[in-house]
Amino acid sequence: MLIEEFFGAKYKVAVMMALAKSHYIGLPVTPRSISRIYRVNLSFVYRFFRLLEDSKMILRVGKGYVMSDKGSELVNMIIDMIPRSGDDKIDFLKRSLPDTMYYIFTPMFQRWFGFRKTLIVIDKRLRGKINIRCDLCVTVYTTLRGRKYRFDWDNYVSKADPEQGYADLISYDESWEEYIPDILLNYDLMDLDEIIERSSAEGRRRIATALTYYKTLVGNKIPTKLFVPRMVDKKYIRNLTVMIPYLLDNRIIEARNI
Amino acid sequence: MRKKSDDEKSFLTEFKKEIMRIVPDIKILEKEAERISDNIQVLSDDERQTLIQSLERVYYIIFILKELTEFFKEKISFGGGSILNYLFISSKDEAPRFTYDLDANWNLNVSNKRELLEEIVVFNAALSERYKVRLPVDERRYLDLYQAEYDIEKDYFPDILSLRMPVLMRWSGLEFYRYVRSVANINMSFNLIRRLRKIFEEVLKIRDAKIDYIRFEISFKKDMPYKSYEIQLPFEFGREKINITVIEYQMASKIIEKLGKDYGDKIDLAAHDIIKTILDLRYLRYCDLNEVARYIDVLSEKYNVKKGEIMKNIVRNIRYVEKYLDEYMKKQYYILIRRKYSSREIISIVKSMLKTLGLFS
Repeated sequence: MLIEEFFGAKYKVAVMMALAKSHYIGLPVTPRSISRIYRVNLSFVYRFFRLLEDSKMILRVGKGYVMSDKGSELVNMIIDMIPRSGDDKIDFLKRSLPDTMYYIFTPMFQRWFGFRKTLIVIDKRLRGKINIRCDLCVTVYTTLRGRKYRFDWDNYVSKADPEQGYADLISYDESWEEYIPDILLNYDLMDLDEIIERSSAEGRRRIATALTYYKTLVGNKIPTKLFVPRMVDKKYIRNLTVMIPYLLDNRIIEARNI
Repeated sequence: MRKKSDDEKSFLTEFKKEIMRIVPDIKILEKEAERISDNIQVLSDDERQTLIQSLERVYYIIFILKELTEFFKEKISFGGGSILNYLFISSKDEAPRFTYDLDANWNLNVSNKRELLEEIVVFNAALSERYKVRLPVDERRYLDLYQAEYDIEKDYFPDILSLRMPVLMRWSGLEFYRYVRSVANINMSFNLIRRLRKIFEEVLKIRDAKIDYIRFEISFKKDMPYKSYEIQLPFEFGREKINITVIEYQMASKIIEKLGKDYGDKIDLAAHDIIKTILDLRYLRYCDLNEVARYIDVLSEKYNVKKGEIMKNIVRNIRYVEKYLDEYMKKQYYILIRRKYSSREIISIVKSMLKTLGLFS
């Protein structure tokens, strides 16, 4: 990547991109969040921040930093160097939002046959400051505290871990049941307890109901830390019934009148 | 901050408390064995042990019956061998035959199993509020027992939903660690197995507790008359109002659908079923025979069979199984009946009742 060659080290790219992208938003970035999301060495990041501060490229604001007038001259150049993906909505995120302040997720397994929606979770402090237009997106403004996401250096975009992504989709998308086969048919590839724990209160009830339904349907073979039957919410069961064709073989459904 | 070992310890204490609450005490099984066998001392040691072991399974059948009744109330009714033998026959100074599943009927209209499964999910949620039997399988995960599940292996009929419930047993089923390996593909650590064995030994008096399925079925699309019977349940489960298919209807149905059926050259395959029917028909002695006769008429009309035909089939079927009855009676299901009656006596009782009903000459 040009940008990596230009700055010579990933931690420098991370710091410069974070500062450049937060410039137009007007929110400071912190070394700790950069280290966590870009997965770069924290002490290197601190050292680079000190260097930038000493050379008057950045200014300290509260616990974070913003570009100074001098540093802001570099903003457009840095943003232009960020590799494009060809997908307008993703490129918009890549150019406009600090990677520490959003993440995206697309369902990984697609055992269902609907449109593949993209989840975009954005720091609630950015509500009203940006405008994302996307028909096939689930856009959520919320706090990112404690959420599991990281910068994907292959695609230059912040992505949720699978458990976080599915937890959000189940929590925030009104068509949440569409993702249930993805989760249940791959329960051995993900941490179901983590999905539940990362979900909103409503999301927890949805996934717990789905899991209890699935255990009832195929036998109790999925060990969990949480006692999910206690979290069942009757009102969600009907949503799950329509998912049976994706969970069981059609011949069984027909022959046994399921 | 709590240590992991503290969490484990507290969980295992809770697990122990739960299994003490839900697994029948051996004394309860012995008491029931005494009650239904008149005098357990007349049984040989082997027979006594077999009886107590069989009763552990019966305990859970009654447990499920009670839970289903209390949860679904008017939506569900029960019938079949377990109800007849454990609730009716055994209450009349008669020896029950052992049967190990529970038959229920859904009293509301449903068109497919999907709708019924929704009800079972809610039932599971309710069960989870009352019992929390979670078998630890590794450092942080558990398999939940005492939850109903669809019995996909056994489910063949389009209008019968086959279900099962994994429960802790002393004598039948897979050892708990084998069960975990078999259903969840997890090899439990030796340390965990050792700690669980200690608990099982304290509570169940057996180190390698087993996990077995108790099977039950819910049929739908069946229109059977039922009424509420107030029954003193065995095993100190208390008194319960239970919707049960009218007992006279059950007798009539056994006569028309089993004993009076023409099995043709497949009679050898039906022999055991016929024998079970004959044993259950002992209860005719305690029924309102006018009602039984009325239901026989209703069912004959439903299946469009003539009385003469039924009589002919009854004679043929009884004659066929008579010669095998002694052999069948050696099975453990009939451990109590064979102590009370000879095969000849049973046949004679049933023939005499059928004669009264005008179905045997």
